[in-house]
Amino acid sequence: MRTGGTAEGSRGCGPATAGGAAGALVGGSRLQRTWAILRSELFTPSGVRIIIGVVIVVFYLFVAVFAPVLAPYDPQKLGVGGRLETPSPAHPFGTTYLGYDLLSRTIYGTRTALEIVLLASVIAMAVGVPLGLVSGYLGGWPDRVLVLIMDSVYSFPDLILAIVIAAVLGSGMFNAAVAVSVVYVPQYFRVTRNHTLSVREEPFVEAARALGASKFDIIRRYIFPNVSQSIPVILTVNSADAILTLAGLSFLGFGITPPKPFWGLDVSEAWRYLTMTKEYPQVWWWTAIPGLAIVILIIGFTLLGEGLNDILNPQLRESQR
Amino acid sequence: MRPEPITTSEPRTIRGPVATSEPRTMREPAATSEARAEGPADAGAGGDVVVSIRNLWTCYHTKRRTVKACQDVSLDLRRGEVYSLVGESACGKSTLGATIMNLLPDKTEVKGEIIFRGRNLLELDREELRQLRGKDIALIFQDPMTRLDPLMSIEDHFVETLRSHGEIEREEARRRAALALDAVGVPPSRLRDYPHQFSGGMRQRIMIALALVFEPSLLIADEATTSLDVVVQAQILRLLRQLRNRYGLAILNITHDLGVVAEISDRVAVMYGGRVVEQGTAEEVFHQPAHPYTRGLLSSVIHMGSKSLSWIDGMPPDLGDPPPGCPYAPRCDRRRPECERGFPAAKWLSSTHRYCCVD
Repeated sequence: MRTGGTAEGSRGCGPATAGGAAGALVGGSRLQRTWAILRSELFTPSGVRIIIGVVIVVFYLFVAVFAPVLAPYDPQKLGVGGRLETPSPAHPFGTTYLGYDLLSRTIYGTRTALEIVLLASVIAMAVGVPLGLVSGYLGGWPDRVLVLIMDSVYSFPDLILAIVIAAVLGSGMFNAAVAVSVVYVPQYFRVTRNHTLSVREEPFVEAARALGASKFDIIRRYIFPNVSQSIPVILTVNSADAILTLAGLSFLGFGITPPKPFWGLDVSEAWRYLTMTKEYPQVWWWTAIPGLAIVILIIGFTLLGEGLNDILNPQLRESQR
Repeated sequence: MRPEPITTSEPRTIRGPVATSEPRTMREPAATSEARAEGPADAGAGGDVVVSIRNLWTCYHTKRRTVKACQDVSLDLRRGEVYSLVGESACGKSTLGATIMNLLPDKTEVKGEIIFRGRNLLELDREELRQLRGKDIALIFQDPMTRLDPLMSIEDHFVETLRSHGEIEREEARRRAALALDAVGVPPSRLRDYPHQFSGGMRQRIMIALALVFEPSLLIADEATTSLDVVVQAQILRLLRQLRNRYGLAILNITHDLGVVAEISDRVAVMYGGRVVEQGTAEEVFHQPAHPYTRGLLSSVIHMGSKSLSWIDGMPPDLGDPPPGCPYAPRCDRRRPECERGFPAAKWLSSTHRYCCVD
């Protein structure tokens, strides 16, 4: 047991003392217990990762929610500044070729990115995870058919598949999310199914069957929680990936179309000017700022996911002490 | 001693390429009527029979072969009785337990009857069986360390188990869980703890509490004390005995540990090569072992102070290709030619004591 400097420092290794923070781990509702666990984990390495991840993601969420307040200009209004102005007090992040204010576009881009990525992840998870659970637990011919379908979807290059679906569905936020989610369904399916295959053979699953649990209950209560630990990791990796796929889609004219503020769009528009060093020697801000926005959000998602993964698994949690 | 052994259950050609003539499907135990005519398959089973197993065959079909794990097994369990099933590994003991619970792999063939409360368990559909599992028949396993879901608290295990047999309020479930834990000597204050916070003995107690939360009439203990140290083993055995006395539980105790058998059994069946070779009360089997295998098994027990250790040469038969006659014949020191001809008929030494040997 750790000693000193922890939120539960009163739980020493010596003789038992009455009361203390340990009480919170035993009594109370499920929510209170979860909170007690989280509180006691704050200063472990995974706790620090979670804190940083939460700070970043919450910051982005905050920016997304309060974009109208935070943005100095309308991100879709032409000519609020000059062409490709370098960062200045009036335009802290400079302006783009068409005279958009880059700060406003970056702030509103947060909205677009979070909306589409979250929507796409939710759709991909809602389809991939249940199919993976059922396929892995039941086995037999439904499993084989599903694996075949998922493998054939997975064998397409991400972007090409997304383009086909986006082309069929047309442009728009929701359609872009669907196009991106289809690409990631097989990943959720595969990870869930493979994990289910191993968890299904665990002795406690047989024990649950011996106690009369139904198939549905076994999947829901015994297999899913054990499998779900791997979902945050795919979620974060995929969220990062999804932003890139989305940018690629936009670059090619599918999904999100130009006037709408989106980091990927700005990066892909800006990179053309980067090569023209003679005419435009200093356009670093147009790519660097939306690019940084992407990178920092990806780091935030990843830290959050991995930190949560460590804490949500009680065995892992205990072994770190 | 009979001059000619009666083929009881499995008619076979006396000589011939046995392995190849073996059909893939299970053969109907045709001549069992003869054995039945001699009397009940498991005499001594008076009233209050909880479960009655009759001529049970369990065969695992794999791609290449058929493994006959239980062959013509018959036994009766009465209320409040501890019936031990002994034998070395790979003799079909655990298969018998799994057959009763129908926890077998999909492609397993089962024949015979398992009568539980007037219903043949082998004829029930999945849902009816599921309702019986955990409620009327419970099973505890050898390895308590891995039988609890690491992500679920003890309370959740109870709530899930109780809910799988009907709606129940969480408060009520908690109350019953506390009672069940109390009955097995685990402080109910530890309901909120997770499995990894308990020792092996405690986890086995929790498994027993989970198994008994519905007060089933039959408890199958599949090597329930094997992985525990002797002190904990003794505690668990004492606990099982107490619970038996309190609830009138019938316990089918599957083990290879003769010490455990001697400790708690009322009756004993010795299994070898998928067959019950001897059965009787614990005293009869321990004090007057009739089958050579039982004798071999008993003499292999290590006694304090004895310098030499005796054992039985050889290995149990491969149940994918069992020998034609008595499965023990290849290892038996009293083997005779007729041993190879068929599984010997049962002989009765008393109304409760029965063994299958030509000797």
